[in-house]
Amino acid sequence: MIVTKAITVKADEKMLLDSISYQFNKGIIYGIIGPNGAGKTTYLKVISGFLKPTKGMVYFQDNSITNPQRKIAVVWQKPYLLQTTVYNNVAYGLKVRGLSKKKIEVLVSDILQLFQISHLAKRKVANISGGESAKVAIARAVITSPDVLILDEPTASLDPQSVVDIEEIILNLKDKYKMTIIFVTHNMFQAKRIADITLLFNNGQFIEGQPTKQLFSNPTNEFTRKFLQLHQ
Amino acid sequence: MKKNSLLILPFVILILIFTVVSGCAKQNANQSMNQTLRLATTTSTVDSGLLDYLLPFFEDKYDIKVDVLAQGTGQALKTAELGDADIILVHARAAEDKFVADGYGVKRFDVMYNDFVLVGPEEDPAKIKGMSVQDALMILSSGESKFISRGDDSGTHKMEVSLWEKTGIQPQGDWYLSIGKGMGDTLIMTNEQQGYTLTDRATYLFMKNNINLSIVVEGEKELLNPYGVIAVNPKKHPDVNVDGAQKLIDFLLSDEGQQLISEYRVNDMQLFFTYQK
Amino acid sequence: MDIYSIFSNAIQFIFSGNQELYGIIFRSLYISGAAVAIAGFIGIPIGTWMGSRNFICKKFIIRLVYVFMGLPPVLAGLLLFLFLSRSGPIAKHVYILFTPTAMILAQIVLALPIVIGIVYSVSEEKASTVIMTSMGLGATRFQSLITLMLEIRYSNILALVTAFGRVIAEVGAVMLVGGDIQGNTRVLTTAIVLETRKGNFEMAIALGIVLLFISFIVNSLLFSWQYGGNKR
Repeated sequence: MIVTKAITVKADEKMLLDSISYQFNKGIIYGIIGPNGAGKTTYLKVISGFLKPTKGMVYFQDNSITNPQRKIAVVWQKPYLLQTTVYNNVAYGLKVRGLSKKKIEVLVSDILQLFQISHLAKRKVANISGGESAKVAIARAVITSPDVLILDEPTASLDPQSVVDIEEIILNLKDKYKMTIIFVTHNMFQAKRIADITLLFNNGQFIEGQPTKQLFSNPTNEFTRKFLQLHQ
Repeated sequence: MKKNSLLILPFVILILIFTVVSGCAKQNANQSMNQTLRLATTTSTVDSGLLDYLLPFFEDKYDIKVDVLAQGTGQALKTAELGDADIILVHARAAEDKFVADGYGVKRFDVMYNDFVLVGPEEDPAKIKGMSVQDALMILSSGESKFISRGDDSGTHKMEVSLWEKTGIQPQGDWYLSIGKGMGDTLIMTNEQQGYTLTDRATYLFMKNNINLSIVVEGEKELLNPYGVIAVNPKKHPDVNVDGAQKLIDFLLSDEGQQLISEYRVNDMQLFFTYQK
Repeated sequence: MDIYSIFSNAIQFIFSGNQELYGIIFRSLYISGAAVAIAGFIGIPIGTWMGSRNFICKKFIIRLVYVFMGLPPVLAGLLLFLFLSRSGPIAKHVYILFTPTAMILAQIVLALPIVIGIVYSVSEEKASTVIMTSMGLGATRFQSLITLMLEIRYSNILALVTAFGRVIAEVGAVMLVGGDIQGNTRVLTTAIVLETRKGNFEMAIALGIVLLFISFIVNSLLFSWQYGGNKR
């Protein structure tokens, strides 16, 4: 689905990403963990096409990404909601793709239902809670049925109930739509809970990527072991 | 973003309204008057109310609308020199003659005159009432009282400068305020400062009720203030309305025009005088 | 001359139904309104775009815009006068000196830097967040700029109000390029100058009161709308 080949990103003299190669496959949830400054968000930006790597290539289903935005949806950390109604936010991705008003109405009401936020449709985003905002942000990203959903810290600074809700939603999306989901988290346990495969980054380097259970129960890599111990 | 784009709509409508309205306004102006004539003149002819009174007679008779630019002699001459006025009515003899000699104007005609007067506070602190202009200026230059000068290169200012020159005094110091304003502003300033100034009689009479100044020196030949009218030369600026300009000159010099000018009264006083023929 | 009677006469005069006075008011609104509307149509997209990306000499151009925000109206008027004069470069093709159109042009020159400057500074602040968000949802670069423009709509209004306040109260430029021709190019400010010069303080103050009133109305209308918009 997505292949990154020897991705290297340098800013000034600092090495942000050091020759990272990995292949993401369809219908799998990937959790990326690692300490601050590991390069997790930078990597997401490269995958989603917002950052041109200094060296290396990103392939999307065999094509070098030229217009990935139409197939990849991104929800940034602390997502910015457009200063209008919840409905307009969720409908945005469809509007920019030029869908008819009727189709948009149907799709939006479906997705609002799926996210259990139908009652918020007409509210201005200034008047909804943090957890609700996070749901809106994900809802408007997945409404265009992207092949890949990228989430940067989707539950950072949310209340526990909202965290549970959102994790449920993520699992749901995978089951229902066979979406590939790549998320970054600083919370190891979140990766443990919902990721099929967990990737560990440190200091711009890709340490290892293993099926989640294996990585947590039986880490082979020296750094992984230390990292997990430190955060247990 | 359909709903949001509605927010721009008021501005679109606004512009459309403006465009339509301005189109209509222009059409109306064109319909009511066949042509327009642009007259650059001094502030005194406008501020004294003379042109508001006089021009409607001309406009009705010839079906020409006169756009009046009240600018002060220096700016009026310059505007005409650039070709942005069709005709000028000013009072600065030397500058007018130069304007014609340089080829910017066709010919200068005497239209009317009024005179300059020296005005000051009612109590006349410098005690110059009834003196000759030169003696009065001599005393004022001692600096006991303020003297307010237009300082704007207008006809009045040019007259003031020439009077100082004749007296042989270079006016400068704290007492001499050159303010670069029109006659009305200068009189207001003089009133506020309780100083002295040189003004044309017309503007002074027109404003007399609003200020506390009286005439201290008047009636000398040196203080005569002739107004001349000059059509802008079409050889310099082919687009000027030379035909309308000639009609206005004819009108001003006609018996009717001359009579109207001499009959104009403000507060029962005659402001502009015509030449006996 | 006591101030009280001047004011009471002025107020009486405003409500006396004087056609010339209403003509002057309408003309002021028309000229400044048209100038600001046009400046908005040009300036808001430019300001938004400038805030959204880096380009050659950006810093220099920004500084230039800020300098022109404080452009003395008289200087603008004088330069425009010479430009539009029959002896100027364009008179052969179009001659508009001493017309309302010339005054609109002069006020556009004054309003444009203000609109661009204010819109730019807000756009700069929000550009990366909004563009990342909207492009992350599948918008094209152009669509994301439109979205950005709408996201900063209240600041855009503020820019227009600020510009309007400046140009309608400005006298130097309109006096020079308009010529204060009665019934044609006489607006509130030039009329105030004329009436003051004539010593008609009542009329001058009446006009001044109208000018203040217009500023008050425009400001309070738009700010109440902005307040309501943020709340809704």
